[in-house]
Amino acid sequence: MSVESLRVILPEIALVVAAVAIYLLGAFWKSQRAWSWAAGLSLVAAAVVLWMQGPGDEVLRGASSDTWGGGPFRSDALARFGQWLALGLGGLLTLGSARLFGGGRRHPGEQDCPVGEAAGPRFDGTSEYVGSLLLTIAGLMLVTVAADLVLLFVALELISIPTYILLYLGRNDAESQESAVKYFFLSVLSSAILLYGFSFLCGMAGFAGAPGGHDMTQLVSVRAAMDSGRLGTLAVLTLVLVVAGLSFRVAAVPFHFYAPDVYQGTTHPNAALLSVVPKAAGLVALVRIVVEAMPSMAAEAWPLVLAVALLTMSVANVMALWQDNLRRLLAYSSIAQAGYLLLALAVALAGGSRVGAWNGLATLWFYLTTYSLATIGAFAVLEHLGSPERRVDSMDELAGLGRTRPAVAGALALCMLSLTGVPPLAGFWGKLLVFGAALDASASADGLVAMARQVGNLPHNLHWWFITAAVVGVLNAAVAAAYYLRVVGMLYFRTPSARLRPEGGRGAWAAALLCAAAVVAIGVDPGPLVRAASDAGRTTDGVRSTERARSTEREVGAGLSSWSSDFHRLTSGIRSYR
Amino acid sequence: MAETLLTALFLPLIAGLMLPRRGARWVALLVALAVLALTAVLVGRYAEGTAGFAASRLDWLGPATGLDVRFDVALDGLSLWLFALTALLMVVAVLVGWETIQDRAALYYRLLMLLETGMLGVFVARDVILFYVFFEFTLIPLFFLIGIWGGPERRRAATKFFLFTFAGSVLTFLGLLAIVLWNYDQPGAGSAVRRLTFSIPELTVALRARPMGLGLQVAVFSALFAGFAIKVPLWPLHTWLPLAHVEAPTAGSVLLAGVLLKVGTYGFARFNVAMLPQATAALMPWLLWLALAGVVYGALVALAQSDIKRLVAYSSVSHLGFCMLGLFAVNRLSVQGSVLQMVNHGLSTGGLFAVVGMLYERFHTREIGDLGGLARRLPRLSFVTMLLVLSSIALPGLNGFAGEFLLLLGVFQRGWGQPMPHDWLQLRTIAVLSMSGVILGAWYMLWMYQRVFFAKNETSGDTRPVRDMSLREMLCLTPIVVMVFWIGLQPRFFLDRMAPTLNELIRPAMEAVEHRAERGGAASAALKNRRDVVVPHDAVSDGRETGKGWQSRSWCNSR
Repeated sequence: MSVESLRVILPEIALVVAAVAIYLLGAFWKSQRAWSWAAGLSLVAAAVVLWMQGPGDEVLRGASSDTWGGGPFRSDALARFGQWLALGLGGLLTLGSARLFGGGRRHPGEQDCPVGEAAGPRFDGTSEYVGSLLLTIAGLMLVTVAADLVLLFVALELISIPTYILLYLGRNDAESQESAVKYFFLSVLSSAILLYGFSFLCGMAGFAGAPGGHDMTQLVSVRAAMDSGRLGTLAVLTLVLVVAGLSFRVAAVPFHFYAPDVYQGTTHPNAALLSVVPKAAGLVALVRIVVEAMPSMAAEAWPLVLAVALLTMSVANVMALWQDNLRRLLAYSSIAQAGYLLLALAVALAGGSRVGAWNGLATLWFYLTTYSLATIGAFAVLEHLGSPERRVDSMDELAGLGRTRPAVAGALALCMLSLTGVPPLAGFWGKLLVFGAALDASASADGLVAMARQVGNLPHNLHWWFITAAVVGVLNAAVAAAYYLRVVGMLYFRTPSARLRPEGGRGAWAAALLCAAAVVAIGVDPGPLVRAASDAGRTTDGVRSTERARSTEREVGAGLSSWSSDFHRLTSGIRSYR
Repeated sequence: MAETLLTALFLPLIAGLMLPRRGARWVALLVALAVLALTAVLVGRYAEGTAGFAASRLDWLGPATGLDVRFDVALDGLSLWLFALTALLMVVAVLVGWETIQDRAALYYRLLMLLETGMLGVFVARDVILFYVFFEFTLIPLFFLIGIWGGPERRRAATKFFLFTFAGSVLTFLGLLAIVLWNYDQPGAGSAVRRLTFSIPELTVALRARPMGLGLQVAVFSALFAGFAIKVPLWPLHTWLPLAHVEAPTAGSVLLAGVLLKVGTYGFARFNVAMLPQATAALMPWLLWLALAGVVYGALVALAQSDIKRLVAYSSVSHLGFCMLGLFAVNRLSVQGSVLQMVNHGLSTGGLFAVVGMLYERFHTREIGDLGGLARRLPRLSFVTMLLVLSSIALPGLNGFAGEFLLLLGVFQRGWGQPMPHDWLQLRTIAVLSMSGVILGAWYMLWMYQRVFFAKNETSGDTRPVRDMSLREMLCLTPIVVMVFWIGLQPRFFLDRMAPTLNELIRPAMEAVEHRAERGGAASAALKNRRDVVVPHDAVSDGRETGKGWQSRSWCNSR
């Protein structure tokens, strides 16, 4: 690795430097507004740097996808897409939390008074807050460019560790403490699981002998080891560990239990961040590892991911029906949406992609974008409606908002309807792509199934599995409509009870407006985003599909033989033990 | 003409987005009238052709994405009159709430305008995805219209309406995608490159040239059925309808009954019958039984209602059952009658809902028992109601007769036609039983009319003078009355414009039905004559393999 190749991550470096500077200077100079601006400016600076690294950059080309270059970084279309997405989401999140700590318009006579049971002057954590926020964004960007297991893990932790701080910063009561602690322990546990999986990956790469000049931690080496096809059961175990560890970030069932409690116990901006950034990072990591580095495991991976996807959406959608707390509701909504995202991933793993945008990965990135926009928009509206002292918690507080605050209610309703998937909003196109991709996978899978029949009685019948998945998916969408509509109905069909004082600040309002506008704009003209997402999906798919053609035959045969030999070994071991 | 169509389509959308707060109703009325005028121009210039009238094709997602979804709109014989019906009923809908809607009036008229674009769009869309976008989009304005301006149960009604329809239509969505993908998998006709097309005419042609296997057709048919049958609504799936109709504001009921139910029947005609002919033929008896159940059940329940609005709502179930009966009998006459009956039902039931709204404004009750002897107090309203009731029960000379007569003629022809269908007993039973719907329809409608307008009301001694129809109310119902007479006296004008398209649309399904009848009949005859002959398996089960035999055969119609 040369110093030159660090140029790939210049935007991330800029963000980390800015975050550190804000941390340090924030200790000496307290200002809510200034630090929010500083965070915004550093995001803009990172965007400028990213923009200036055009595709013509020599170093970048060296790290581009085709060669799977030497360094720990990759700068392919997926990385680009992920970086821009991260910066965009970072901007919206910063905007949405800009007034988190009071500031701006103060009520006359209101001092830094004690809040709730917490005594003492209120702690102004703006600099810490925005610094941590910038670090999580940098972490997300780093995940997208990482081509090395160690770097990938560090990047994921760069998201997790600032999140612990954020969870403590937002609120100052027992509930918040509980949620922060809960998140901390479960997150550390999931990191441990993931790390355990990574250690296997490294071990396998070392065992198989890394290809010339590569470290065994690099994904290239992992890929080479996987392709050698000598790993058997261990590879399956690794796959399960990696998927389990990352499922926590994605908030997929059965690793979702923290989400409702943590969201409920924290602030709206934090909940927005938690429902978007770790999810995006987890999905990118899953694609980088499972799709790109373990293509020979696709036959084992897709049933696993598909099962998790169906379980996730079904459980979460049903659970969400009973929620009255808005953040719990949105937590279950974000879990359920993870199910659709994983369905797209399962399609990508099963290799069912003939039509450009129905390629599972393109679908995944498109859906992730639309989901993120609508979710951030919803949380930003809720943040705007509350005040630093009083958050909007229960659904009843939204009653009649369509009459008292039509614009705010309109923004929230648009986000909800987009999450429902009603045309002509962005969410509809996401659903179109996901379910189209699932059906496409089932239609195109006949070749694979026929091959499987020849080799042996492979239990996975792609055809039916993906049709079932699509049907379960759309029925879930209908169930989800019930609780999204409850919110909309609350906004418009009830008479206003208590008047909400929207004091969440203009930042949150601007973020909400931007999200709602984006949801409508993408809904009316989804073409550009579909193109960008298919570019991002195509490169990784290209790497994979060349491999798949070679590996499918071997995978079906070798997978079966290795399973059976493991079984023999196991049974003979048991026999000798007796 | 393409510009005219696009203007008619987008004018309400633009109005819906930027309607002024003051005088919203006037602007809404102007827009509705302008759309009606544009529609009149379209109808006047309508020229039958295969390419679709006033067509325009614009890129939407663009070919570069791989999903070449287009903004593709055109009129044809099936959509022309439903399009016109929408434009006409919109004027009625705007006028009917003129004075009652005071609360958040601007929002109300905006939603009405958005709804108009959605409804017009459903009928002109020639792209599968565009169709679905409009199809679903109509839910949003109506959800708000029912939920905000509806009756006491409005919240439950709005949610139930939305969820029922949405749950069905997501399955329809899968069915539509399945058609598109299946077509993609077929080797291209003449061209080496496989192309993903979403165009409805192209898909229809492609599926006609190479039909799906029967099993797949039935599966796709069921998926499409889920959404359309709920929308129509067919018998066991109708439970959302009475609630939504009763709770909706008058304009909402008018449009819901008048136009939105037709979206379901339109979908059946456009996709199920036209694209899946063998499945239609195979499932025909089942579908006819369902439709018949709706006819009889809706009529019987309507008979038992004490609330006029509920009565009219259940009469919709019955009448839409007739439309489905005609459509699924796949016979030239019955299908033409069915489409004409869709328009007729929109006019008469839309008008009746408007009348019920006017009565409610005057007496604040819809209970039949609370009303009575209104003919003396409200002569003009009574007259118009009589006209609409007679149109609804198909009095010769009015529109209902033209549609229902054709429709039933077609259904009977299906039962007694040549070659004799192997399930002739079922078909004839259905045809005979369907007549009971006509009798029951006359019973509940006239009985209701007698109790409300003629009978002396003993319970309440309410003899306060009430004002008869105002000029606004008369203007509101004038377009409906004109059309009731026009269609009744000159149905040819309407049938001529729809017939060529419809005949072409149902031709494969008709052939499939006749083929089944022929094979089935031959098989059963053979069975009767020689007991030892085994019926060839493919004769009844697989329409695709045996397709060659009947395609060359010149199909005949006993007409």
